[in-house]
Amino acid sequence: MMVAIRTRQTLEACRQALCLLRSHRLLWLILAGAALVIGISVFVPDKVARRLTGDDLFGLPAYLLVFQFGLPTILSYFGLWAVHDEISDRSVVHVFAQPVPRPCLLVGKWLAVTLVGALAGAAICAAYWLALALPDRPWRRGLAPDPDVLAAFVQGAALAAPGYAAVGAFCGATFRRPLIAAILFVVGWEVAVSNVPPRAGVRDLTIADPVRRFLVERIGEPTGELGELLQASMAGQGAGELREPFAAVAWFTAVVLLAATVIYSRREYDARSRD
Amino acid sequence: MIEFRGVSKWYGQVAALTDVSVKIDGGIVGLVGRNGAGKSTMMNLLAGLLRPSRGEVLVDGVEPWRADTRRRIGFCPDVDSFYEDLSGHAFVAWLLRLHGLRAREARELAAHAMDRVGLTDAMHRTIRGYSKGMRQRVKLAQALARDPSTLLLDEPMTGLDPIARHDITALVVSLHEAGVTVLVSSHVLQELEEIAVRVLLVHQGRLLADGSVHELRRLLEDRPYRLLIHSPRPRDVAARLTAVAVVRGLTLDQEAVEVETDGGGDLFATLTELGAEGLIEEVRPLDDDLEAVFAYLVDDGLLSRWRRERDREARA
Repeated sequence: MMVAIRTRQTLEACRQALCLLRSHRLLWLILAGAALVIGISVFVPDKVARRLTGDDLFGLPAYLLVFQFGLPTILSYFGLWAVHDEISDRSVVHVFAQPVPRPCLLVGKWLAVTLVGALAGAAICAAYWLALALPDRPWRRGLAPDPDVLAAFVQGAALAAPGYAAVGAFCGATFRRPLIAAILFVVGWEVAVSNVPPRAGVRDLTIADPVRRFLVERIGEPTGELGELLQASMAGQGAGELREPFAAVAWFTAVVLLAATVIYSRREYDARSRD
Repeated sequence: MIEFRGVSKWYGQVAALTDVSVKIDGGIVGLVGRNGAGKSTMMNLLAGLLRPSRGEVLVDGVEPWRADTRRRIGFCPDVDSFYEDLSGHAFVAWLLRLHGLRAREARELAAHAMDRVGLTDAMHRTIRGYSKGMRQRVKLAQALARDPSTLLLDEPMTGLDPIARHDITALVVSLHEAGVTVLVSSHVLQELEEIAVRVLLVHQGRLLADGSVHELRRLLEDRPYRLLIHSPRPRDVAARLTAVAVVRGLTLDQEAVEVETDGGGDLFATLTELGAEGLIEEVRPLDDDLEAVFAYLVDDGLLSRWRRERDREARA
């Protein structure tokens, strides 16, 4: 009975966070921006296209824009926004006064951001792949990207989303200036750690590295420009000692989410406005 | 039942509450104090939003920090923050669904609560378009929605017009009659006089007084107060007032006379005469607010005297 109530409360927190996300202008701006970029890519000059394979044409922009930039920044932002926004404007007082355990609230919000992020990332990748796969221009003959690459990217988005959403939720629950903390993680920690040799053993403390390894494994040793990009930092001793990508992300997400839940649960309401 | 057992609360180095002990068995109890006295901290502790640094806060024998305890508590906070894009009805239903209620049940309870606070006609409008008074009522509606056994109202009358105040007062009284324990805070003593039988007076995080409104009022009856009288001829006014017995002191400047008085008919009769002679432009009370009342009660040591007398009576 109690489990059913807690599940319902968590799903309700998720539903409410989805409702709030739905009305967030930035989400629609991102989707509109992605549609614009995809639209422009259809008219990519033949000269550029001839130098690349179909997988490169799809994989390079998709990896750089979605996995390197979009998912980390946007998901971290929405994760912290879902948790922190109502704390900073104090509307959280109404929610905290209800008989709902804080872990249900936090997990619900994290779930909502994960769902939106995974779906948006997968949808953008799929739309871009379809735009390139349309056989309406001569240069595309024989260059259409492999459906397996698309499948890898969609799964990669689903793998990355929970981790970045958890980082956002953690920053939102913990820091007074959570955006700075999230940016430091995404453009500081992740970038720095990706340049550390694998044998240092800290790469599992990121999301970007396991996701990159997942894409390499899933695509099956990619070649060309995409292969170079994905495998550039894989060289060196100790690469084999890292966790499986899925296990690494799951472990990292679980630890960060647990820490966020504990901090959020212990958090006292701060009546001072932060605006 | 509400109970504070030796409760202290610190925000870093700042003590918001110091060793507060009080027990409320029922009824409508007023919590009165200056801004920053610790009223909202007490409310937030009872609503489970804060944990005491020391001591225990209990509602019906259980700590409100625990989520399930809060089922019995309705809380109307003093902050004016909402999910502005929701309608009033959706907002209340939204919070009810966090209790684990199904959508239909939450909607029905929300509609009933909105009806109780007189917002039925506007319940489907977005909160963004609500007036201050309507926003207060929405907060009250969400606090009432699940028929709590303890209702905490933090400055509920703020922004309400006289009719709305009357309606809310009547609602609070009816809740009390239905057996709900109501703790209502205000920094305006007169607001509480109408509804609260018992008043807790909080000052600088300490519970200074706990007694009936009449006891507190009796203390204030003897309070000297000050009037500022603007006049074109303040010297003449001062000369006339020196002859009035209830005038304790006079301070004169070029445009006005400040009078310290115990009140009484003689003074007002003299002022009426002076007014008729065109010697008075304006009479303004200088300390008819709670700040002055507190200054009088706290600084003059009246409360400690009063408490000593009460203790003596209790021992006798």
